[in-house]
This record gives sequence, structure tokens and C-alpha cells, in this order.
Amino acid sequence: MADAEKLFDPDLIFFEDVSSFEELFQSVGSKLLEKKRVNPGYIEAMTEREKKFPTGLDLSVVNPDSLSVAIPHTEVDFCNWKGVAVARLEKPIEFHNMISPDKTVPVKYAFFILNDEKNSQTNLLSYLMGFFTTGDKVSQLNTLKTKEEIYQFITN
Amino acid sequence: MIKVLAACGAGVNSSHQIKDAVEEEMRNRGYDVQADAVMIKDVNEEMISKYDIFAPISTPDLGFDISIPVVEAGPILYRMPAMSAPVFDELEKVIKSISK
Repeated sequence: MADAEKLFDPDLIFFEDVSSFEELFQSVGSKLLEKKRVNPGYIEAMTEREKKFPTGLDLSVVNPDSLSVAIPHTEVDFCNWKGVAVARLEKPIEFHNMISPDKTVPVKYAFFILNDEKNSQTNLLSYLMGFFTTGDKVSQLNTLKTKEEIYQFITN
Repeated sequence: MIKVLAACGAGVNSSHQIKDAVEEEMRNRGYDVQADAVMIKDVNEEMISKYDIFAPISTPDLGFDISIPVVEAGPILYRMPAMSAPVFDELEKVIKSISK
């Protein structure tokens, strides 16, 4: 993707210490609301949607050593921006697996996909998938200390 | 022409990626395939009846019997040949059985 640096924002990288996806959505969602990247109702819509259509992505099928991720997202109406907010989880949280919803995966990073244009060919997801499946980038993320370092690493 | 209905929870990210990948790969394999991407909650019996194959990420409970073949397309999302090939092979098998 040409403008990866525009799809991420150092200001939208969070370090979260929570114990469930509900708490995570509450915490990240209220920051996104404050920054006007999402609309009221976002947290509730995300939580509801995650229960019905989980977004945990098992990366151990790509690389046995890889940490797993989640890509929570919801409908365009709740978003005011197109891009990705990143949350590093102090301790991994169980998400249900998007592809096999009866299973769970321990998630260390959540990539909140925000998309406000229903018909645009954003390919945000394909960009992320490329990142997740090339080399062991997610584990490398874990070696970084600052939000700025994470931003540089993800957009390069 | 074979019509495929891709579906995911929000109708913006995953289903569009499935639509694009299915169209591209099936055309490469020589089939005339057209796909649409929708939200699961918008899928009803009437909509399904206009398609030949249903391609959700994983089979959802729609509250009615799905009258067309279902191919679970989730693994395509990884964009890795090893993951997506079995899904494309299954799709091809279904397309062949429909076209007979």
C-alpha cells in the first residue's frame, strides 16, 4: 500500500493492561471517541459484533512461534477515519478465532480497523495480512519499546 | 456465469477481500465467476437464491437452511497460497459440479 504512514498514527498506538476484550474495547474505544476517530455507539457495536463475529486471528498456523493478533472492526457508520489503531496487550487476552469461532486464540496485539468508506477498495485488511504473514513481524514488534518505534516498524 | 456471495460480519473488510481473491483466482483457473460482498445480517433466503455459491468466513447460523453450496472461505484471508489453495480447490470442485 502506497501510503502506509497515513493509515497508522503514533497517537493511535496504545499499551493496554486489561483482562477481556470487552475491557479492551471500552478502553481503546473511549480514546478513539475522544480523538473523534469514531462515533458514539462504536464501543457497543464493536462488543456486540465481536461476540457474533469474532476477529481473533491464529498466526501459529503461519509460524508456530508467532504471537497471535485480533482485527476488531465494525460497520462504516461508526467510523470517522480510515486507518488502523494498534493496541499492545500487557497480558494476552483470549479472542475467539475468526475462522473457527468455537476455538480461541491468545491475542497479544489488536489491530482496530477503522473504515468509513463502504465502497472504497481500501485493502486495509490485505495490508495487515501481508504484515502478519511476512517474516515473524508480530514477534519482532514485541522487542520494540516506544510507540514511535512501533509506528516506524509497522509503516516501513 | 457462476455467482458467489461472500459475507462477513461488517461487510467492509473480510468479505471484500474474499470477493476479490475468489474472482481473481477462479478467473485464472478459467471460470467465469462474479462475486458480491455483503454483511451476514443482510443475507436472507431470497438473496441467497440468486447466487450459486455462498462463501462466508465460517458457516453462520442464518436461521434458515442455506439452499446453495457453502464454501468456508476464511483461510483465504491469510493471503498465503498454502492456506488458500484448499479453499480455491473446493470452490473449483463445486463450480464443476454446478456446471455439469
